[in-house]
Amino acid sequence: MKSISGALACAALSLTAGSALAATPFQNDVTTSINLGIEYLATNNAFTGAAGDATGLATQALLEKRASGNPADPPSGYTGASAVDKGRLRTAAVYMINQTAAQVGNGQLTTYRDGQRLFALAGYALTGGPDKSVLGTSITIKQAMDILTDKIVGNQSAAGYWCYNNGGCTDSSTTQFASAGLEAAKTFYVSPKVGDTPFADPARAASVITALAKTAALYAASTGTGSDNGSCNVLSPTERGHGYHSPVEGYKPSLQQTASGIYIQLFGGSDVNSPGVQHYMEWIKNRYRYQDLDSMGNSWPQNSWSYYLWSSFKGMELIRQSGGIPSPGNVGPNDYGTLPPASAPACVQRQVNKDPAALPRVPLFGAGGVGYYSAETKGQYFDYAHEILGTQQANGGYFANLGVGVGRSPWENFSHQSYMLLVLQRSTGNVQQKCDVNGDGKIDSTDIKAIMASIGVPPVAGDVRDFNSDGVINIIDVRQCTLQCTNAKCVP
Amino acid sequence: MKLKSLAAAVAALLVPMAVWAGPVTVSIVPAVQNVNQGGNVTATVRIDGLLGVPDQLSAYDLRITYDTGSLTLLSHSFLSDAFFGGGALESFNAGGGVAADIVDSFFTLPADLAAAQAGIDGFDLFSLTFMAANVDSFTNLAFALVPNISPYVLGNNNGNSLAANYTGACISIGAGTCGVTPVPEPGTFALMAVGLLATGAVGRRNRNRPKEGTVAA
Repeated sequence: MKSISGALACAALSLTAGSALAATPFQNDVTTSINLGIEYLATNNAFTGAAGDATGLATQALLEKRASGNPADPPSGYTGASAVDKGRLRTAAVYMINQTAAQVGNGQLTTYRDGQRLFALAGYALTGGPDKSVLGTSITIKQAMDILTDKIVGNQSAAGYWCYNNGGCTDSSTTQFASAGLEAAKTFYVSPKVGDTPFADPARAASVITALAKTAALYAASTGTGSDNGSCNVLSPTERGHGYHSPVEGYKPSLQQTASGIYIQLFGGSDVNSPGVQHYMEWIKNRYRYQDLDSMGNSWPQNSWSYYLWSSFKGMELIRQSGGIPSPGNVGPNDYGTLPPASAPACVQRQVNKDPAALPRVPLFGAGGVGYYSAETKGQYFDYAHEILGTQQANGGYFANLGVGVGRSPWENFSHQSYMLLVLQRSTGNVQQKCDVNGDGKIDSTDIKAIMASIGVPPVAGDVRDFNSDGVINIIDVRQCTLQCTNAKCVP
Repeated sequence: MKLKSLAAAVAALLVPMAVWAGPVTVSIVPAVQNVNQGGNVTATVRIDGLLGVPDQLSAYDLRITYDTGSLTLLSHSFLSDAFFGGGALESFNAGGGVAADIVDSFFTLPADLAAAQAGIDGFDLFSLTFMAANVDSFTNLAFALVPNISPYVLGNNNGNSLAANYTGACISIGAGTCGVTPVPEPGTFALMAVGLLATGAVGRRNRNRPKEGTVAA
C-alpha cells in the first residue's frame, strides 16, 4: 500500500483538537488513523443521518477524538472539539433528538439504537453540547434522555435481559447496548450540569441503578461454560461466560458477549475481584485473541470481531481506570495475552501479546522498519490497535480485511468503523469514572471536595465516591481519589 | 430501656484508651493536665511512630469525645500542613456538641509526601481549645469510631488504611482529679434527695395504675 504519510501529517495537524501531549511514534500513527477514520465517517455522511441506527456510535467516536495518541490526553468532547467537529456533533445531536421525539413509548424501542443514543447524547450534553435553544430541536436533551431511559427501563425483562424491541428474549447483544446506555444515563442524571434544563433527576437515576443491578446480577450468576470451538472447550472448572443468548437456551459463551458481560457486571457495582467478573476474565484469558474470533463468537464472525475488540477493551479499561488491583491469584486486565497457547490449559486458538519491537511500521503511515514501535509496551491495547491500523485503507475505512463495504449494510459499515475508532481512543462510552463525581470526564479538586463532603453518607450501587467499593465513603476514598486526579495536586 | 440501648451503643463505639493495632500511635497530649474553673485549656493530637514510605500519613478522620458538662469547645487549629506539602482539605464538625470530628486530607502526590515527611516519625496534627466549667470535675478525651466511616481513620501514602493505636487523655478542673469522681457538695446532696423523692412518687403512681389491656376502653 502506498504511503500517504505526508498528506496524513498535514491532515492530522489540521484536524486535531486541543493541545497534544508528547507522543511516541505508534501513538502518532494512532492519532493519524483516528483522524482519517473520522473523516471517513464524515465523508460518508455518518453525522447527517446516513449512519441511521449507528449514529450514536459514530457520534461517540467523534466525541472521543483526542489531541494525541498519548493516553493522558483527554477526549475532546464537545467543548474541546474543532469548529468543524462541533458542527458535526450538533448535526448528529439534532438527528438523534428529533428521531427520539418521534419514537415515544415502550412500543417504540429499538434497543441497539436507543442504547447508543443514550451514551452519545449523554456524552454530548455532559461535555458542553448546546441544547434545544441552539439546536432548534423539538425537545430538549433532557426530554430525549428521559424518553430513551424510560423505554429501556420499561422494557427490561423480569430476568434482566432485553430483546431487539422489547424484553421478550435473552439477547445479550442488545442487553449490552441497553446497559451501556443506562450507565451513561446514570452519569447524566446525577450530574449537576444544566442545558436548557437541569440534567439531575434522582428518581430516574434510582430506576437506572436498579435496572443495571438486576442485569449485573443475572450475568454474574451465568452458568455458561465451554466454547463453540471444540479445541478450546472447557478449559478450567471456574471459568464462566455468556453467549448471544442465555446459557439456559444452550448458548455457549462467546468472546464478545463474555467481554461485554464483564462491563455489565461492573455497571452493577462489581469490581475486578468480584467472583463473576473473575469467572468471565478467566474465560477470556484462556481464549484471548485479537486477530479474529476464530469460531469462538457463536456466529457472525466478521461483524462481531470489531464489536469484540471494543467490548473486551472497554471492560479492561474500566478496571484500569478504577484503580482496582487484582487480589493475589486473580486475573487482572494486563494478564490477557501472557499465556502461550501450549501452556495449561492448552488452547491452540489463544494468542500471545504482539512484540512492538519486533514489528515494522504499518505501511499506510509511512516508512519504518522493525523496531519503529519499540517504545510501546506489550499488552492488550497494542495488540488491538496495531491490528486495527493494519486494516485501514487510504480512504480511512477499516475494511482491508472485510472487502470494502461489499454487501454490507449501513449499520454494518458504520458500526464497524466506529468500534475500531473507539478502541483506538480507549473509549469507555461515557461511563462515569470512579471519583469523577460531577461527571465532567476528569478528576480534580472539585470532585475530591465533593467526596470529602460525602463522608459517612451510605453509598448507592456503583457509587463513584466509594473508590474501594467497601460500602462506606470515608477518608480512604478521599485519599485514593486524590491519587487518581487528572492533574498533579488535583488542579482543575 | 431505650436509654440503656443507647448507652450500650455509645460504649461499643468508644475506642478503649489504648488499643494496640500497630507501631503507629495517635495520642492526645498532655496525657493529664489540670485547668482552673472557667479557664481555657488546650489539648493537642499528634502522631508518632511513622516508619517511612508507605507508612506515612496522607489523611485522617478522627472523632474526639469529651464530657460537655465539663468542657465547652472554643476553637480548633490544624497544625500539620507543613508535613503534607500544602493543598489541604480540612474539615471540622462539632459532632453534634458531644464530640469534635476533625478531617484532613491533602492533594499531595506520593513523592512529595515522602519528601515532606522524610526522616520525621511524628508531628502534631491539630489542637482543640476548651473552656472549663465552673465546677470541680474531670473528663476523659477519647477517640471514638464514627458510624458509617469506621474502621478507617488514617490513610497512608498509597491511600490504604494505616493501622495505629490510640491513646486518649484526661483534663481535671479545679480540685477535680482524673479518675476520681468528685464528692458532691451539701447543696448537691439536697438536690439529689429531691430527685429521689420525686422518682419514688412516680414509681408508686405507676404501680397503682391498672395494667394495659385489663380495662375495657
